[in-house]
Amino acid sequence: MNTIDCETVLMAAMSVADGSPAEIETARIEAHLAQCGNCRSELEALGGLAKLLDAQKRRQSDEQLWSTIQPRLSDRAEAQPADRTLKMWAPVGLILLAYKLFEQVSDRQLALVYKLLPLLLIAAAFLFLRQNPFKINTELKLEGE
Amino acid sequence: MDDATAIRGCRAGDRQAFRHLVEAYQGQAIGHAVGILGNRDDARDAVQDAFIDAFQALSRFDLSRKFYPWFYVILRNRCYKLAGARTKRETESLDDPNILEPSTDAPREELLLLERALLELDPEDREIITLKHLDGLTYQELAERLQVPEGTVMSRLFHARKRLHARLTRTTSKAYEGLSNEHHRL
Repeated sequence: MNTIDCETVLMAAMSVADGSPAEIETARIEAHLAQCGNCRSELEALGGLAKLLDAQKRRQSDEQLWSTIQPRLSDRAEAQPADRTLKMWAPVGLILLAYKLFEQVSDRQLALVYKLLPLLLIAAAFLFLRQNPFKINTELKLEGE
Repeated sequence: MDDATAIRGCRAGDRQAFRHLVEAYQGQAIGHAVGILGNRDDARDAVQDAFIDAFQALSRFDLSRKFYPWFYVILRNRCYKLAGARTKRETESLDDPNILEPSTDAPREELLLLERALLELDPEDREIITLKHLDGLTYQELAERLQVPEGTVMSRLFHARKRLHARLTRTTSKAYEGLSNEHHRL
């Protein structure tokens, strides 16, 4: 028979008490509790604490923050206009890129153009779709959401 | 105005539309920030910064989702940034609880002891306990808010409650010692 440690049992028992399924069967939890006095008393203490906490409410706040947030929105928007920065630097970048390409292609064979063409098409597609291919999505999306 | 309309308005450059979101969620946000940081002044700063971050990130918000869970992730980042920058405060003498709502049925001393024990916890423990017990979030909702798997929620919550129980036992016995010493002096 597999034995399970007290902490695993307590964790599973508290999970069941919280209305969430435990990773081990209820029968095994009950069997362990029946023979372990320490676990029974600890479970009782933690259950009592949970009840005490459940009876409490979070303190409500009626503070109004808009008057302090509004001026900061304006400041930030003027100080860091992401779209405007992009619009300002994009033509410069394109001119530099075009110059570099011209410099590369002008004294070489046209074969290089064919090599660069797919790259340019991909870059154009990303620009058209407004997607950053190097962006890492850090937002967690749970299954079934 | 609903949240989606307000967000569309903000994206179109209407800053006043953001007022709807601030006014709808500021109270809840301050409550949650106090739950992490343990004091109202820091909480207010974190909430203001989080709203500004949210305003700038609204273009990335998925309109099919609810605003507040998305905003909460920004808020907790701000709170932990602030908590990391602050040196650990001494537990102040508590006259008025910050996290818990004073209620008419529970004895005030009991409430203050619980508040003090909560304040002695790490912000992570305090956050998960208050979200679970004061807001009644399920394990799945906790997993989404804290961006961890449900198994981690179960383990973190268990250990947080154990630590709170230990703190509460210690705080309670200290309080009884104090009361008993006062009684002896009288």
